[in-house]
Amino acid sequence: MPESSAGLDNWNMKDDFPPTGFELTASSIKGIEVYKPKPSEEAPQKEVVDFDCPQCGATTAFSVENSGLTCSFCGYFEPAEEQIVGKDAQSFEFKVETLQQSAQGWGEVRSEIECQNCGAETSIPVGSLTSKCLFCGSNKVIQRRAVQEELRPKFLIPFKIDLQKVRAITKTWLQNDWRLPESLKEVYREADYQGLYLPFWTFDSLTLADWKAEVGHERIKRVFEDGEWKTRTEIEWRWESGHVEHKFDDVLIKGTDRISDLHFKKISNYDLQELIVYNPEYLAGIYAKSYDIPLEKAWESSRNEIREAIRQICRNHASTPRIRNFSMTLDYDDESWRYILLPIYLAVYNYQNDAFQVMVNGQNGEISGQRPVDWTKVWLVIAGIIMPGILFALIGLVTFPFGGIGGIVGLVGFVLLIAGLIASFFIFQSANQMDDI
Amino acid sequence: MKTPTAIEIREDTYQIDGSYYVCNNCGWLYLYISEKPVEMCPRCFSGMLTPISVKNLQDFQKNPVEKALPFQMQLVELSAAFRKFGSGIPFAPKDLTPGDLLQKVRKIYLPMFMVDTRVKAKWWAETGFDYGVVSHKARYDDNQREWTSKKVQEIRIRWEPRLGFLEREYNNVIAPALEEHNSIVSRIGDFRFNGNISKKVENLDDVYICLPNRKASDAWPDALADLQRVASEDCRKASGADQLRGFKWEPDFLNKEWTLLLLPIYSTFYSNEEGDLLPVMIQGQTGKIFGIRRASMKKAKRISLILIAFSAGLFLLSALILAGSITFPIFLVFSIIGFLFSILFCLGASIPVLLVWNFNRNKNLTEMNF
Repeated sequence: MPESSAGLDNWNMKDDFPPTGFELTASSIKGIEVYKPKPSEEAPQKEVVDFDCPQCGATTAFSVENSGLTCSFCGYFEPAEEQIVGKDAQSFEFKVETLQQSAQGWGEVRSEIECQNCGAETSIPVGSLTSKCLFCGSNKVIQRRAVQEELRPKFLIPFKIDLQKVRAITKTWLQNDWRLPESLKEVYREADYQGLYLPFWTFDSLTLADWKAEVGHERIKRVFEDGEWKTRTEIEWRWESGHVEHKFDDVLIKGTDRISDLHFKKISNYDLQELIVYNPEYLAGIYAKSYDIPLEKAWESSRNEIREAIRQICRNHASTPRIRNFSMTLDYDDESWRYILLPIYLAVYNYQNDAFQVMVNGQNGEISGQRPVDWTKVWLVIAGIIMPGILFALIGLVTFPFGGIGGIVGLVGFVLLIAGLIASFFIFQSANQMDDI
Repeated sequence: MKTPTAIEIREDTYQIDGSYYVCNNCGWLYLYISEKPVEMCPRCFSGMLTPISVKNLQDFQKNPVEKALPFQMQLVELSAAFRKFGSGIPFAPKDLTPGDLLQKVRKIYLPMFMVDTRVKAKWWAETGFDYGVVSHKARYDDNQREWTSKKVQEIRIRWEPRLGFLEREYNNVIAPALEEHNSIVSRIGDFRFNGNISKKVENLDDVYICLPNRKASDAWPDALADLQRVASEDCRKASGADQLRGFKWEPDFLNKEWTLLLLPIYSTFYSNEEGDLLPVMIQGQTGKIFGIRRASMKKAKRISLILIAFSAGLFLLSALILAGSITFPIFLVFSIIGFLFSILFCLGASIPVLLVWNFNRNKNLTEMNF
């Protein structure tokens, strides 16, 4: 409530008027003066923040290892101001106005910024939150005025994994799988990782669902049939209904379509308890992008995820899993959203003239991406698995006319063949997925 | 005497001696400027109006009339209202007819204080600003294998504190000038003040202008509540807000000026068999009617007596026929039929009395004492 924030709890009309913290505002009626609470005194945000070393004037950048700004020339270090808010980070309602303005986007294709360091003008694409001057190499964080204040990035999770660790993770990932080509094991050295902040939306919603379905209950019945008593299982269908309330917290939806869904899902296990208040220092020298999937579209994706999840929860509420004619109504309540930046390392490496993308979660080091498969190895292994079954089956066939032993060998061969085929199928499937985009 | 207009009813009009009357039953005071002779009190119809000297009036009773609401009911509408009032009464009194009621109609102006004042105040309130939020509802059906979704928009309020100074002139803030005002409007409905206030009352001939019986100082708390309501509404508008709650202020009131607003009502009466005159009141703007509806026990008894007499005659006739049945046995049948009918008529004779008793039993005359 703004009431308490305005500090009027203990204010008396006999006290000084107007009380501190209030300022005169427009009144639409003559003879009435209106005072409103002064807006919180936030330092005016510069549209472009340059990061120069106060000691030597060289360019500083955010160091993941030290969690602060460092100058690689003189060794200057300045710790970044970290205000952890976690899941208590402010979320916003779905105001009609916000949805419309989010859909409008940034309205420009590119914009020009002037380097405070060398005076050069650089053209940067819309949506870039950071830039590097092409002439002097200075790092800049672009804090362009958003169509609405709420649509500026307010929170982020800083990088926790440095490049060295990322390379180690990649090395393990590229070396510890027999399906990969031998020559790939050294490729990780060539992978040029780029740490970047990508835009994400998080959504909260309380869902209120009412469901109804016919639920099948097994009933054992004794019947007299063909001159004898038999037991028979019958399904008795009964209508059931219920009400489910479930809170969905921080459903994460990507704010850009520039990354693969498949791979991102594998590394999307971010711990949002580590969300901190946005501070441009964290973006110094790191590429950062604003959203290109608008709020409403992301929200639709989130609702699709939520409704499928709540449908499953409702079905689980039925007294048995045998369900038919299921129907439900769903009411989304207390919906809110956040716009956040999350750290990701992206790299592309070349192998035999093909480009492969890898992404690493900048918070916890989860890795996912494309890996070329050595299909010769895979086929050899599949052949090795199937071969014993085929051999045994053939021996069994040949020896079958000479007695019972042939039948047993043939049966063993048949079982081995089936098991081999099943194992081969899974090996093929997983290998095929490895180099899928 | 020349018929005065409302504009002429200023302080000087209040000096006309001999135009003031007091009811010796209910104590209401009237200003009656007409060539017609005064009769009974147009409110209670139980007391006579006695002239009093203007010197006997208190100051608050001589506040000038500033505005009056016009009488808006046509004779046809009044007649229809009376017809509706009298309908459904079993054995209605003989003068409870639209014609009789219309003939005895009086026009009364009820007074209300209006205060004009300049207000200087510090104020503080929570102001609410409406904004729209979008939400969704969805529905799933196994048979259709798909979700249908509906967007819904809700209005929410963002509350913010606002405070300030107010220095404004507030005119025509109203407060009851009669102790019985609230009781009257609770029965005949409130008056509409917006849009149809006439600066000029066309004809005051034969109109009873009731004078306040409540001191302005007693009415001030009511006016203050109304002032606060109006001021809070102004502060809401000044803040550009859609809602306002928890309004507090510290006002100073300067140059209070009291005048009167007149509210039109019609009154008439009918009598019951005991000779009591039962008043009926009609709101002068809307035609909403109020009065005690009484059935006539005298009429009912008369009908009952006729039925009893008829029943007795039939009984005697049946007895004679019964005697004749000794000679002509067939007469026995007629006499039995005659006895049965006489019993039926005798029983039926009680119905009119019972009907009237039942209709009147919950109608208390004191209800009219507003």
